Amino acid sequence: MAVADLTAKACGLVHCHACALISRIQDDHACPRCGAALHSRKPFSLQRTWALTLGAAVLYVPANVFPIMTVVRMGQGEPKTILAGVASLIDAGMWPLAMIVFIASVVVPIGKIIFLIYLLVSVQRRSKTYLGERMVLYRLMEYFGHWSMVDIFLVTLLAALVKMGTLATIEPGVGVSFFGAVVVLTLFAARAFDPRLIWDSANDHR
Amino acid sequence: MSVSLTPPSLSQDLGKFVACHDCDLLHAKPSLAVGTVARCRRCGAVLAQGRPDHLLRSLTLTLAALIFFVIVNAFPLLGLKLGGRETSMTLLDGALELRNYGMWDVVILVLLTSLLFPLLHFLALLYILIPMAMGRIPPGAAFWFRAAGLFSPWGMIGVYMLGVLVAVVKLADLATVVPGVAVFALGGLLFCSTAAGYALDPADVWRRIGSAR
Ligand SMILES: [Zn+2]
Ligand SMILES: [Zn+2]
Repeated sequence: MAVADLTAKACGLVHCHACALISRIQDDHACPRCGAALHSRKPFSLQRTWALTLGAAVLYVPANVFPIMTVVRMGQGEPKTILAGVASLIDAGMWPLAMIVFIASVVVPIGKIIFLIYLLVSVQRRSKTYLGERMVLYRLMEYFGHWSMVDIFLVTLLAALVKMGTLATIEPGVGVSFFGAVVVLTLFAARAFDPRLIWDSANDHR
Repeated sequence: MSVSLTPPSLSQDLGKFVACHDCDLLHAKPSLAVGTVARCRRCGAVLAQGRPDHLLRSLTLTLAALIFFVIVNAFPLLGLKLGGRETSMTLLDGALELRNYGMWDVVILVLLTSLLFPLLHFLALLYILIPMAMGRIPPGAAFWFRAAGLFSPWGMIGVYMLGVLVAVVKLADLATVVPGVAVFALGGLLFCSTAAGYALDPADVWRRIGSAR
């Protein structure tokens, strides 16, 4: 290993995730400056990320099978799933809106689940390729992950605003609960993953 | 930044080193001119940045954000006109509406991300920044600054704003939507809180908290 590629861990040091102070690794100790628990790597990162990612993948099924809302007009209306909602926006000619909802509700969560699984598998296989690219993926996930919440906010806003009895009413569907759980699980999964593991495999056997 | 780095010996001052948050690579602590950024040479993550006059700027912007936050919650967000009838709602109404359908999980999620976490984030920041701008360190500063960092990713004002815009456009063919005062205040809140985040130099705040111990 080149001297230039020394990690804090390799030097017996640990970086505080909260305040960035460097201190020497000791068992079970807290940051001397901010009091945060110090870990050289996030504990059980891979196990926790796997559990949260698979949980999100499983819940994504009911999130799409059950309706997320019903638009009742003149006493009539049928419950719509996420994808049916996107389809009706396209039918109404609202292309930009359809794109926003499709990206936030389908592309972002599915992309996140696929990327997380790819990151987990590549770290477990101790892959040494595409290090920078995988890092970019991780940062994209951190940056765009919470935009999936848009559908949840949308349904609550519409339900609270459109309450005019038989004239027009928007009711939420149980799909919102499942989709909310998917968003929360993917957010926790991305936080459970430790990006330093990507680089750790690049450092061994060199 | 120096490329070759000798590992720190036991006697050496650890304050001369920083480790990359994203890949753990050890660097000599950069000394930065105002307005410049030091990045990790391996993964490109930001190691440190020199931000001018950051306490006063972030304090002012956070105070402005808090004022906008109060306005957002005190005034109607959206109104609806349909068939001679008119209704309006506030941000809190939106968060609480789904309790009428027994969907408490969604109520809690929306309440936390649109209201509680942003508010706690601003309050925790102000608790530290106001005394610090006057040269003092408040008791429990380390705890509250750490808490502010934990709350911040769960406050989703930007996403909420997008939800409001989508709702306005989507309802356009159903009824007349009247944007309330809170929509504009929400825009101001989003701007001020984002700018406050860019103005603040957390490394300097930690340095001050550390040197007060
Ligand atoms: Zn610390
Ligand atoms: Zn790095």
